[in-house]
Amino acid sequence: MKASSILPPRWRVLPWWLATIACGVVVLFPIYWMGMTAIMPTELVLSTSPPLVPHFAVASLAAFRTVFSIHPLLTWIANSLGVGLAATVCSLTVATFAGYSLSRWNFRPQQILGALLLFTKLIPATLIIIPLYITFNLFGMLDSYLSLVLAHMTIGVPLATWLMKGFFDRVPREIEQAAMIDGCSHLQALRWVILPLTLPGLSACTIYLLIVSWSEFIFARTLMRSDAHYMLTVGMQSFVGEHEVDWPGLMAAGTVSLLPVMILFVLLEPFLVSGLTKGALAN
Amino acid sequence: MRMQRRAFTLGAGGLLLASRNRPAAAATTLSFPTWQAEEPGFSQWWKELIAAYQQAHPGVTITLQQIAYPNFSNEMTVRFASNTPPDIVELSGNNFGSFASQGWLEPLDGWLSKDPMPAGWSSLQSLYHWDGHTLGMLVMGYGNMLFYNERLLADAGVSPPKDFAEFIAAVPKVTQKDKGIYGLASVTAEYPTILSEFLSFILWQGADAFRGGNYSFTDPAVVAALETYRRVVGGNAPLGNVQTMQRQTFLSGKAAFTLDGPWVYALLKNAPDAVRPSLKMMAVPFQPRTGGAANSLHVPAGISAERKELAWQFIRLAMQPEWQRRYFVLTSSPPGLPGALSAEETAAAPQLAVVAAGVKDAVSYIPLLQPIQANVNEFVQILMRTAVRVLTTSDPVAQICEQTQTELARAIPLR
Amino acid sequence: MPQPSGRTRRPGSMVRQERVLAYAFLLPAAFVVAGLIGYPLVRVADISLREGRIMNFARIGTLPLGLRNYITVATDPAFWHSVWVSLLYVGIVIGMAFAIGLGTALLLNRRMPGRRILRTLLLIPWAVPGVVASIIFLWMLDGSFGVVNAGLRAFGIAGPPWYVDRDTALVAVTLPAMWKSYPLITLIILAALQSIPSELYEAARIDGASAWREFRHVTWPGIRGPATLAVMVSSLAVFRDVDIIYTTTRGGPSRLTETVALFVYNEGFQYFRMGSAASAGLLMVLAALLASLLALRVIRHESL
Repeated sequence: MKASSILPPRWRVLPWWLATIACGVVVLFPIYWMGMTAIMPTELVLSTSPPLVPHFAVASLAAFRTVFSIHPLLTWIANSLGVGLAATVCSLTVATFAGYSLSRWNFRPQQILGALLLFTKLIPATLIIIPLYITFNLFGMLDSYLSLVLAHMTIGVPLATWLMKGFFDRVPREIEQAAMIDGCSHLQALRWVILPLTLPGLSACTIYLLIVSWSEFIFARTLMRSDAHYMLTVGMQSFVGEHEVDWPGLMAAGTVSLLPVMILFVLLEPFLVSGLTKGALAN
Repeated sequence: MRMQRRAFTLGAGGLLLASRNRPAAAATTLSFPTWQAEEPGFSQWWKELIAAYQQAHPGVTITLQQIAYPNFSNEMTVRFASNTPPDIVELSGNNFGSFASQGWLEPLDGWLSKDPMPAGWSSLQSLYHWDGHTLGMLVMGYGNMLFYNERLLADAGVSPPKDFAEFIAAVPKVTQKDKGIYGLASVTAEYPTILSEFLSFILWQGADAFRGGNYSFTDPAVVAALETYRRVVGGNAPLGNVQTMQRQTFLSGKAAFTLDGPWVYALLKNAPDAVRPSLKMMAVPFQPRTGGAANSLHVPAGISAERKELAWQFIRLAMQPEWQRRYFVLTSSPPGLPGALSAEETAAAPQLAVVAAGVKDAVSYIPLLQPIQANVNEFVQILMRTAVRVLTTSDPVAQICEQTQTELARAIPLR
Repeated sequence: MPQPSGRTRRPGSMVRQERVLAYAFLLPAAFVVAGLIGYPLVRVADISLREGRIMNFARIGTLPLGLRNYITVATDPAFWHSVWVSLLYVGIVIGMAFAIGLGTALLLNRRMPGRRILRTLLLIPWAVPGVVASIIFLWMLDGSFGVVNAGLRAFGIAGPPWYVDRDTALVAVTLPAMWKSYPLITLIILAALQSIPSELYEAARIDGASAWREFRHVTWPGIRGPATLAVMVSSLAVFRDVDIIYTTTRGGPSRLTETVALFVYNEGFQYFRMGSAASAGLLMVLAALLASLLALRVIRHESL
């Protein structure tokens, strides 16, 4: 603060800006290194004196070409996006109703149920994966996208519910009471009056749920059988063979896998910050 | 109207009857998951084998499914534990014991009495004997190979060793740590394959840590052998290396020797141009030759009798000498019948003869004691920690051996 | 923070109708989550009470009931060691993730050029799959071939083999975890920061408050609630994670990075001791439940 008060007003933000850039460089270095490993020959990157800047003479995009031609990377991405979107839509619907319930009513068992919902996040996937597999097998639902969507819902719904509860808490009850006096049911009030007010909250939950689906691994690996149904997280393992690991390929796939998410961030980010404001405060 | 309906019912009934009379093998699909469906060489062999099988068994199709290697073991565990095993089972490395002890694998003795394995089958098949039954067919059994860097050896004035004593004398002569040159590249961190060298070092010096079916780590001979291990490996190999680093060190020309499986030969091409011509492979010149079984085929116990029969037919086909030869040529890895090569094939790929020599009379470095095989993962974990302790600390070896003995006896009792 | 009251005086039948609605709205979520987790959890509890070593889930029911698994686990020093490692692991990861999250949120709260891009960039680690993140760090921190040690060598420092050295393995393992955990905390705190009215800051400045006092009396109260929620949720996620530790060290060296989650995995999938895995897992869930309840009570007391 002291240093910046020396500077003229417009430049006061300079030290903070530099600090942020420094943060960014440190934090993004692993991503940068991932990209380096993808385009530079392995023996240069994995050596005792690796180059910090790409040597364009030897850099090549061969790994990216291989990644798309030998491995069905686009299929994996499409699968992950498809399941992610489906799981997000379903989770959001379910969580919105549940969050509304927790926000507007206060019966003991109902609130306890809500708390229990959050505590399911304590259970490690490795503990329940085999019984879950048996259950899905019993219903003939193995290797179906539905099973994975349901599994992702169990991961995402708890926190999404509590986030939505927070957003709903911010909306004064008088608003829907006024609507109901005019003849709306709770459902109609929710749909037409409350939800539009919590649009930022819905965006926040959307991005959270998509990230949950996108990076989920254990259920995706066990519940989906055939190659055509592989998710991105599972497909990435293909680069690790029994005797050899395709480092450039793995890193190329990793780099590519960031693109859909980055696009998503850029699109939803403005909503996200203002959205979390309203909900987080209420908690 | 009634006549038409009756005709229809008769017709439908006739169709039903006809379909019942078709042989059970019609339109059957066998599932066969493997981690090798996309691996060069291996995938080709499997696909050729499957095509030949499907031709010989019309109406039966085998679906080859790829599961990435890191996930394979867990996937198989989930499937078997939930009683939905695949029809044809390929297992890697050490899964066999734990699966066998759960009764998940079907004995092959009945079939083998009618169609025995060809003469000259590898001694490593004994790894699949369990409770007096044969529970699997060896697909790939390897012997450890000694890889060396000719130029580094020549620079140090050392020639390739002919026995163990020469080897442990040669290694320190090459080491020049300040120049970043090591006599040996080994696994020197907690990684499962460290056991291969650790246990082999004991055997190569004539000691036995499992004498008479009991733990004998406290034998003076074993302690002395491990002290040599500490001196030679701990003193001359870069510490903290997992397997990838071990190979990377050798491939970049920084180490004179490395002990590894024959598949590393295929990785030699990744070495930089300056280093590649110096890298050579030879069969380990020490006795006994140690190795392990890397891949195997099994019939699961939890499927129907018809499917078991069909699965066996697949294994039987894979056992034939012509297919064994094809395996060796395509993958450069020693199959169950390593001597199956013809003279032309050996001339075309001379390293195959070296590999075949390396697996002759090979012994498994993991002792063939049932409690150990059934608990091999825990066995590996305990000894892995012991090996790293011997290599990287200065605790007295005798003390380490004693503590290891106690830990093993408690975790995996042998009697 | 206004909380809407849930109870108002209404005639009995309307209360019943409200009750039905309340449960009706909540039930789909409860059904999906409890339905999918409930049955497996019941089976896991059953397995934890069966003595024996059958891995075939269909046949585990034939084993006798008993508490032997719980006794074995409770008397296994390796289990308690893994509990300690878990506490250290979660403590370090969340401690650092909170510090980084708070720091970056405070930075990003200021108006500066390119703020939107910077915000997006600083959140990216959240999106990297755990396995990929672990492998990147594994290579960056490799003893001989890693770029970090190469950099240290330029300054004349000999860096250790981070993931293999007994003294550094635990810290090395926390790095990918905190890298992936901080963005969610940044987001939540940043959002909370942006809603603190600027009048409060101006008032503080007029009063001549130092930066620290400003933080303590204006900033912190405004973000305390959301920050605590973020920390709690992130802790739960880190506590049960296996991917990062499995990919980097598998629990080594000498079990120094073996958390309870990894212990459960090893017992079940490596050693085929499903009973121990189940009992250790349930004990772990119970412990985390108690800790969370305690944390919630502390939060409620503080906000009163």
